[in-house]
Amino acid sequence: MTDAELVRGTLDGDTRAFTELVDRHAPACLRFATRMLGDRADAEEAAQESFLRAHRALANYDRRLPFRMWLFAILVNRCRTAMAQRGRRERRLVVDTDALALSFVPDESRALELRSEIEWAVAALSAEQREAFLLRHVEELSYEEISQTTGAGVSALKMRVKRATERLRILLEDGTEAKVDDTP
Amino acid sequence: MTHHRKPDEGDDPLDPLVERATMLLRRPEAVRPAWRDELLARVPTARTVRRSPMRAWVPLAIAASLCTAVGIGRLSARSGRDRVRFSVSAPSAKAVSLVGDFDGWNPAAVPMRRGSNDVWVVDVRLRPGRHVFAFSIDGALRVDADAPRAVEDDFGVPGSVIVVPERRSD
Repeated sequence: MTDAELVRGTLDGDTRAFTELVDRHAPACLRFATRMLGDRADAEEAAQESFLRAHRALANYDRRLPFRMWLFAILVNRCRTAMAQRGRRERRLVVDTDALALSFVPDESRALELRSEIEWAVAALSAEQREAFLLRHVEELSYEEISQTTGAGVSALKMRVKRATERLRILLEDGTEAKVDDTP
Repeated sequence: MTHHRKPDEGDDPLDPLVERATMLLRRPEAVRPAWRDELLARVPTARTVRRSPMRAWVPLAIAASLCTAVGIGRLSARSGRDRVRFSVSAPSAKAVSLVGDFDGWNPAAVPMRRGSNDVWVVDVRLRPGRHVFAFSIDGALRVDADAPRAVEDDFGVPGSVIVVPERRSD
């Protein structure tokens, strides 16, 4: 069943249809929010709010857009709001041991270390760069889709992704030194 | 939606280290069952407005809904002979009225009442034929993006169309 059919089913009062939409899109939503916010609890809250807002606004969903993109537009805004509410709170980079235990594979200690480095590097990007990089290279949206999701222009997005990629390479190549350099 | 990246968008090839990091970042996050259960429990099922089955004499077109800052709406319009029920879900709205060519687009003419589950409703008698209408939600005119639209622009926004058929002779 397509997303559009599930949306229609939800609007017709079929709660199982919305459950299917949640099951289908929650992993990606949680992935983006977790990478974006650097905190699993904040990510879960943002993702949950996004689904609830999507449900409330479903009658307004333009079926010409892929549902996932429409949902991500809501999620991107919720993540921005979460970051704004966090204010000056120090950006945390938390290795979520529960999530890692659920998703990780052999050679756990090395995987944890590597994951920690990667998450730290992603968190070190500016919010705009991180958002663009994640949508492009992790969620694999096209620039046009990212533009519609974020409201930013394609040229600006390409520049953000390019700079994010360069910055990530530097951070990952020499993580320890960069960590010291970036410490406020 | 396809999840495959389009290859021709001008990105430079990723550095192998960044590519490896990206692969790890792409791993989906596990969904905690408790999180899922909490989310589904919070979904306001009562707010859903079920589409009514169309009867033979029901309008040919049903129109729309809408929303903005007031929350979201979903319209259903049903006809019983010359009586048509309009309803729209607007949980945050303070005042909702039905406007259209049948009431001179006067927001004060046909106020809607808030019913259960924040669904605003009103029953109006309409003569058979085509009518253009919209909702005035806290003063803002709204129609649904995928409802039948009127070609004419009666009031600065496109209206929705409803067609009330002639009464049957029975």
